[in-house]
Amino acid sequence: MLLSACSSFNQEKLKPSLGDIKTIQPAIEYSSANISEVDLIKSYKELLKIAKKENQDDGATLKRLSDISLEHSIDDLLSEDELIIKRGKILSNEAILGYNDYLKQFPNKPNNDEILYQLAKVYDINGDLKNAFKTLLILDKKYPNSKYISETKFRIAESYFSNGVYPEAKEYYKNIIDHHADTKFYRNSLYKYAWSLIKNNDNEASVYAFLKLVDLYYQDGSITETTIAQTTSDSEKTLIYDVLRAINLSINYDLEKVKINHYFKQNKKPYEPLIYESLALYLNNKNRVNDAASIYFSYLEDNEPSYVSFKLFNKGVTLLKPTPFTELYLKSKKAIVTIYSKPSLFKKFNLQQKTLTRPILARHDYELATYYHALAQTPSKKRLSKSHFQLAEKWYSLFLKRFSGSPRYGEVSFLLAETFTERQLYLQAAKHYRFSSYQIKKHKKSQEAGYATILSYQNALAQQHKDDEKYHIEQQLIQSSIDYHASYPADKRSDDIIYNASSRLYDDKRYDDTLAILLPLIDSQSTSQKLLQKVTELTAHSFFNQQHYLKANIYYVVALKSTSLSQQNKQDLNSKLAESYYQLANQAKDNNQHTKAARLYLKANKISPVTQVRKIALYDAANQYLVAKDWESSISLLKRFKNQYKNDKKLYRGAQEKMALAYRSAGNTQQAALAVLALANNSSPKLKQALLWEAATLFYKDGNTTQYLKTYDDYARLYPLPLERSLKARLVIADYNLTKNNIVARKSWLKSIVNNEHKYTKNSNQDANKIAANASLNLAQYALQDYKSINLSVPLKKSLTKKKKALKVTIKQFSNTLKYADPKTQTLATYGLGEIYRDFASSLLKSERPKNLNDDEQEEYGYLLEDQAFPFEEKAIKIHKRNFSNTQKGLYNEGIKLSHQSLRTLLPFQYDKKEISTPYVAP
Amino acid sequence: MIKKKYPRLMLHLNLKLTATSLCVALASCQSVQAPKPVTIKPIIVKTVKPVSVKIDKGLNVINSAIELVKSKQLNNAQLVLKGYLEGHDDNRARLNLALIYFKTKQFILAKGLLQTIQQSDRHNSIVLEHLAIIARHEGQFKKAKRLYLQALENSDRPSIHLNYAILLDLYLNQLDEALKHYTLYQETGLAANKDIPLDKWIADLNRRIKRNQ
Repeated sequence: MLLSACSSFNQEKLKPSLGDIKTIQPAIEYSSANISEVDLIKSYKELLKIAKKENQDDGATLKRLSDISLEHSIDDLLSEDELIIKRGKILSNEAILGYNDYLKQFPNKPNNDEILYQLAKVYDINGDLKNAFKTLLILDKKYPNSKYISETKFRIAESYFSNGVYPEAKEYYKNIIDHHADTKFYRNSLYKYAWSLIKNNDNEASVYAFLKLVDLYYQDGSITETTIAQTTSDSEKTLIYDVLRAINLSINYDLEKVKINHYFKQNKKPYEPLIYESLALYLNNKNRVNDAASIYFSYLEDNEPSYVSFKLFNKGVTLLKPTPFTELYLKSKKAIVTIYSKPSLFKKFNLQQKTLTRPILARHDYELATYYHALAQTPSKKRLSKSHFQLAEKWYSLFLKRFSGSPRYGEVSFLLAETFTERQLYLQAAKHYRFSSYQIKKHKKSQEAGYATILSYQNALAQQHKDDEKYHIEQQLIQSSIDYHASYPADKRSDDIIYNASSRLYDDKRYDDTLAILLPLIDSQSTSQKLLQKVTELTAHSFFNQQHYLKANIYYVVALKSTSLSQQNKQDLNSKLAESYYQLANQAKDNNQHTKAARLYLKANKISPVTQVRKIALYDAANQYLVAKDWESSISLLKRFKNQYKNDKKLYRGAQEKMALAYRSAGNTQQAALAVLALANNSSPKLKQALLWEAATLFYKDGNTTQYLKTYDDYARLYPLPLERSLKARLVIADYNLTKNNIVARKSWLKSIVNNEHKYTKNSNQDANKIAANASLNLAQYALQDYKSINLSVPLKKSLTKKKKALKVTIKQFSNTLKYADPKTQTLATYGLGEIYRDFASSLLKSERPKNLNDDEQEEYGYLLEDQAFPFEEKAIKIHKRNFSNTQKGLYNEGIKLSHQSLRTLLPFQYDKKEISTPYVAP
Repeated sequence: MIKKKYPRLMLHLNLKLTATSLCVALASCQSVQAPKPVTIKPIIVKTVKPVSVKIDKGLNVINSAIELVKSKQLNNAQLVLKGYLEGHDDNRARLNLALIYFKTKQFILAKGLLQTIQQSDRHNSIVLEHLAIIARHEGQFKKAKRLYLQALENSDRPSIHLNYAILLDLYLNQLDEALKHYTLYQETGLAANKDIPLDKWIADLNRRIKRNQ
């Protein structure tokens, strides 16, 4: 609408010309008498003659006749027929004569103003302008209150104006303007008055005058604030154009001194935009483009920004469009964008206005930004490139802020990011690329922006040295990579991008996040085979590091199925697969699933390319079978281990130990003993002692007499301490000799026990003491047997001496036994002592009697023997009593019971007492 | 065959015949003498209370076991009581079995049964007495003394005095106290029946007491 209005503005018609003024005449209609026919004139002439004759002429007939002549002359003079024109001339002359005659005859008649008016009219028709003007002057002078005075003054003014007498004309026009505003001559007077002022070089006043006229057009509705109304007639339009052209001229004359807005400072006009635009177009037509644009811009100086002012401003900017960019052009563009894109203003526009305004402002902004952007890239302007980039950034940013709906929005967002890239401000660039790619509607550069985001973050990362910042940037980089892959999966670069991102997460040990990227890629049908392989491997590594070994294991297996693996890659994957098996085995072990653990260790052993892993896995597998009590499997693996890893002394020893344990647990004590013995032979002295003991014990348990006797003998010989084991080893050998009835050897080993205990008595303990005490008791019992084997026979003295000697030896042996602080052996030894005395007494009494004695002598011999035996029996009783008295201390064991038995016989009234019990209880 | 097939029917016919014969006989009576009113005494129905017979199976078992003990068939007695106790909770049987175990020197088994009895019968003097003897066998003389004293609190049976005196005399050397309980046992006059030379024991003890003094 606005543009069409502008285009319809007939610029040609506005071209000012003084000559044109003459062509425009006010539309004044003379009042005319009602003359019906020409013949009527004849009738009136006849009537006049008659009236004059009769002296009844009061002027009425003459006036009427003149009026009729005037009327007809007007019609005739308009004819194209020369005869009729000639007749018209005659009639007009007759009218002039008539009116003049009338004025002579009736100079004081009150209606003479009308006669003068008609006379001036007829002069004018007749082309006698001079007399017409004189007549009008008379009328103006004599009849200031005449009803014809406004027209009279107007015609006088017109006459003056036509004759170039502009001061007088101006006065007459002004009179009409001031005093006859309600007449039809007012507008024309106003128009001509303004022109008069121009002719009098009073341009400023003329503008005001013209504006009064424009006021009227506005009131009529002939014009609006910005244009001429469409409903206005063509003639009216012509007149309005003329007025506007005159205003343009006037303002232009003083433009250097008086600016356009001066005319509206005191008296604001609603149609100011129309005047501004009229002047701007006028100047533009004169090729004064800058002046024209300035006029457009100046409207804003005294007016609030509005849609109208925007339109004017924009027209100004548009006029300046041609390249190169001038300072004014740049300023105007900046101004229009800055002022009119403000939301506070913009929201006041209606929807249509907004729709029209926004793309224009966006274009200006875009042009400004791209202009500075290009300037910044110009090598010759390198010195200023920083500030130009900043300006480009400013205008791009404003664009993004204000014109979100623009079709160029995406492009601008991309270009803004580019300005940062070109300045190597990569972090900011990345931020804006990201915005351009993902946060706005898709555009031509979206994908490129997405890729540039990643590149920018990478560059920013390379620039950054602070760890915290680096971390933050890296997170952004990763997220951008994820976004890119999600948005542009078909892009060939997408695979590498997403893989790189997941690798970074992996390097950061963010395995959950890594897997969050990788797992969907594995599931996706669109993932390329090449990427899938890499993703599978990284997934496996991630699970592994999360200690999800089962999942890791599965993915390693999948990864290894690839046929395109390099030798090194395959080896690495196998190594990790083996590790995963190893860790799964550890988990099974921790869950007490030992057989399962063993099998998994074996898998690790089988797969791993790393010797160390294979070795450890084999060792652990054997150990787990051992824990699982699968002795056979364990032994088999341990044998294998010993064959394969002889050089690893530590584990080799461990394998030997475990083997021994496995054999022993499997009930194969023979092999266990041999294994332990072999282990002992390769051990440190301290360990050797323990292992030798264990081997001896195992041989003993296995019933391998030769081996256990030899091993115990070795042990006893090599290790006197700890005393308990040393004595126990000797005891085993001593007991073995008992089974073989090898009493001499047995006694020898028993003595060695007693002697060693005595030798290392400081190192003795309760168990060692007990063993030694028993050995001592056994020796005493052997002595007792020796003693008992001696019979008292004739000659008594000889046998008695021998028996007494044996008695002493035995008593000494029992007495030695009493030294050991072991109650059981002590009481048995005490009992032994008591019994040997008792036996000696009994032996005396039962001894062989000499055969050559008579009865009396026999009796006497008997008494003598009783006397000899009695002290021994008393001694026996005393010892048994002492032994039995231990019951008072709460002691009650085999030795005490045996003493009690002896006492039952020796002292029956005191000791042969038994409790009585109830045989049954009847119900 | 037919008769065998319908034996009930035949019986019915026989009865019918008998009734008819009776009617004929009555009819002939009526014709001789007017009938006298007969006072019929109402039948008194006695309600018989059921006799509840409590069968004490244990009694027989224990008695038979005792008979076996008396005839020195201790093994059989042991089997009888053991079999019975597998299905019954009976302290009487349990005590007799414990005494058989005691007699056969199976002190651990005896002790187990005696202690079981003691849980429900804490003051049984026979149980306490025999537990005391077992404690003495185990060399737990103080415990034996305590058990004897508990037994004596619950009973004044002569055997407790004798057994307690032996403990004090032989194993604890508490001679005065031993003498007191030997004397108490002696006063019951049972010593003679048991072939125990109690007079000599007491004499010897008095001698030792005197010697100690």
